[in-house]
Amino acid sequence: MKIEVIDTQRNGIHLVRIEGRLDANFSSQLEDEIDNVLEQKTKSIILDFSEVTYLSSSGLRVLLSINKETEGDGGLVLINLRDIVKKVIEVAELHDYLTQADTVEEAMAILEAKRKAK
Amino acid sequence: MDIGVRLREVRRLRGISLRNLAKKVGVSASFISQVEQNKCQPSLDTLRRISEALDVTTSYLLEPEGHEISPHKEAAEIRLPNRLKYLSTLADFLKGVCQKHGVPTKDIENILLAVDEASTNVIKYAYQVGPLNYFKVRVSFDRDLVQIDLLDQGRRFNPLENPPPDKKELAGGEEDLGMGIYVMKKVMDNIRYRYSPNEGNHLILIKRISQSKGNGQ
Repeated sequence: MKIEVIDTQRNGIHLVRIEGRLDANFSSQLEDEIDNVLEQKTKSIILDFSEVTYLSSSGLRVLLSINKETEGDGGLVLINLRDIVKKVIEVAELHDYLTQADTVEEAMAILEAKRKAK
Repeated sequence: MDIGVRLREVRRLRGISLRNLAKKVGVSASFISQVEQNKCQPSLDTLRRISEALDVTTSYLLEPEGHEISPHKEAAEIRLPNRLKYLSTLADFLKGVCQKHGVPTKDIENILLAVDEASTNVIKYAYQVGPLNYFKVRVSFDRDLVQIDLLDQGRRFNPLENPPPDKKELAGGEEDLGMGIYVMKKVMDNIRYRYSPNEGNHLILIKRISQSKGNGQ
């Protein structure tokens, strides 16, 4: 499992690329890594899921926790979700709680619109 | 490192002959045979190709501790340590066995999800991680049914008694094991739980596979 954090240089939005299985084993590692990112002043995160091959309820819990952490002055947007990952979010009936987009640009537009709305 | 024994087990479980495996990997059958007898060791590159041909991870072939497969006709079993890092090993194993039995991809995904959730609960709640111990996962096939038995010796833990998830708490990032169980119930057709002091926890997951039998791809 791999995590890569990239500063997009745009309004403190960070792009986080994750790779592998987001199961109970990996989700705590992701949570720690995101906590580090959130300790900087960034509260806007785009999570790139293109290389995530699996998601379980443990992973979902971490995503909801990041959502909660960022909702005040930023936000979380998930991009490039594979069908198998989308399906789990739907089975858990949590699609209304997690913002999804197709591209980095689209995700940035969503996060910037949120900022302006503040 | 006893890669030979593991390799032979997996190859037989997959029902692949020495010759066929050798052909897929691009080596001679006698070479594979020697590896299986631990008379020689494959290069990393060959090992990678072997694991691809058998649809397991290389670490599965290399990992010395923790799992045994005892294949018989319609059932396969794996024994895993109570550690979360083995969840991916379990997924590889289940996927391979189900593909071999022609279970369609959509059903395999559901089975993998349910068993992953159930096993996470075994490790986190029955064993509470704790000292090294093992749990068993057995897969059996009967007509259009796939049955997965999970057996562990941890503290008594009946997932079916857990209340449904509280979305508000979940949305607040709280730990809620109800969600995993909810997901498990949604993707399987039947779930049963038994407990006895001798056998420990015994969870049975049953999935009826879709009519159109795909090739598992």
